[in-house]
Amino acid sequence: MDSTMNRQKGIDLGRWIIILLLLALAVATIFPFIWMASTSVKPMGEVLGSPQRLLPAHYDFSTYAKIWSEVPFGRYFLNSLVFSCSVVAIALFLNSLAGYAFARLPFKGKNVLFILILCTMMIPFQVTMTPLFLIIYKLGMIDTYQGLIIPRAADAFGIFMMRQFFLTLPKDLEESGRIDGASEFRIFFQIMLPLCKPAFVTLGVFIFMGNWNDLLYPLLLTNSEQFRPIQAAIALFAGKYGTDYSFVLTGLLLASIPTLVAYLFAQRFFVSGIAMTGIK
Amino acid sequence: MNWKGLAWNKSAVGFLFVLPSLVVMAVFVIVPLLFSLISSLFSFDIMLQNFKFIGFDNYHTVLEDDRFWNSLKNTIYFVVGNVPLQIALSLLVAVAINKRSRLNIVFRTVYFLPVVCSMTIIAMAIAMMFDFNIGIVPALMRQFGLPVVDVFNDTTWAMPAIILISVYKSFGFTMIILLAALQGVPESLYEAAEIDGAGRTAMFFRITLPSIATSIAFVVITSIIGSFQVFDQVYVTTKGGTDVQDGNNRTIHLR
Repeated sequence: MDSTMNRQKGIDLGRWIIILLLLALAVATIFPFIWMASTSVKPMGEVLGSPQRLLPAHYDFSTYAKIWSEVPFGRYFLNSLVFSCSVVAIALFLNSLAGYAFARLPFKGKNVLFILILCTMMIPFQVTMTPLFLIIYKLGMIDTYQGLIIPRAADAFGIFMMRQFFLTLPKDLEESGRIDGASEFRIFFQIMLPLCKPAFVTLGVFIFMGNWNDLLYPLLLTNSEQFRPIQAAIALFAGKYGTDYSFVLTGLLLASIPTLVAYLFAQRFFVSGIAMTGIK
Repeated sequence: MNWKGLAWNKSAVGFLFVLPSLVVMAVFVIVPLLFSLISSLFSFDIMLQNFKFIGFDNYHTVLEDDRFWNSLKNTIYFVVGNVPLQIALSLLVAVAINKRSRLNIVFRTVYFLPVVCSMTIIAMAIAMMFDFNIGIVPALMRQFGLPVVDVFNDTTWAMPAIILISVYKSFGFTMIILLAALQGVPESLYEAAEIDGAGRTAMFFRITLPSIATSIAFVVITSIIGSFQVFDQVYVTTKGGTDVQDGNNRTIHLR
């Protein structure tokens, strides 16, 4: 009896230690965010001053006004929005078309093509980036929205994910469409596409996040402020405003708001989407 | 009925569905890949004129360049540091928060926050926190009388710091994959083990690990592939002298 009680106690103590460790990790994880937010509203003197405090003694929101006039921040933001949202819209459409064909339609060379597409996932971007730049340059699309959007219009991961999704749908739906004599295109648009909503949300959030957060790709394909997305812009303007911490951090925070908001609202889609990539 | 024609039609339809994606990927992935492979055997000028076949000379040049070996060494250092740390941390955390409870969902949400931010943002913010002159971490360390190093300008500390940033940014992602795998382990296995008097450690090594082995293999492989492509955090924190050499060998070296 005594020994079981001891063991019970030991387990409880162990649980508490684990919870404390998890808590410490959570604090460490969230600390940079709190520090970013608090520093962004600190007056200059407090940013550099000593001793350092976590929360500002005085709040100064002037950088939040300044950032829009000092640098073309609104333009960067717009560029990222146009770039990411267009890619989401076009890629969802093309990926679902291809994914549906790979899941359901018979055609010659289907398996070979599918494996080939999967293989492209393993090519590091750095291998293709120089020729990609040359192609976009030859097409006259450096520093344009289309130059940023078109190369991202289809991607292996999206096709793979949509295929997996279509495989889970019952076949009866399209069969009945076929019996009614509908064309494959009509079956796709009128029967299959409306069923894709959950997959579209998950994949759409992924594509949005990937493109919004990308650095090297937009850095490569833009060279003027007019079309430069926000991540590339921040990486470049940070040097100029190096010690103006509240200014740079305001930029960083504003640039992460869209993905943070998307995450908090679409959490379960994130989680289920990631889980799917790991299991399948 | 013309069966042959019908089969061809069906096949054509399927192919038409795939065609747009195929064109995009062919032009912007496959062609660049082939161009990289083939052009590595040629010499040419920056305007893409005067192609001359030179066999493996470019490879020779790269292999004799110290910058290449230095970069490779640094990249391997990064991979060897990043992958085990990240997998170990995310595995431990996943096992610890596997039970569904309010608290664990809060933990999961918090750990995942850095994943949705860009590496640029995370790396810049952390580099600023650790800034030798005005960062909060050195300032706090000075207040406690601890020794302070300028981590991102120090050849010894820059890489561990970059690894730390990478683990911080990505362990939540790996954790979610492992959590999903853990959900699939039948509860009855643990119950049976408990009846047999197995301790927690035994359960972890005898039940948990073998049950999620495939998922662990998956995250190990993907994180090795991802780690070899490291760029953003190095570029942002150290302006590491990133180099594109020979059109197909990208390398990193810290200054």
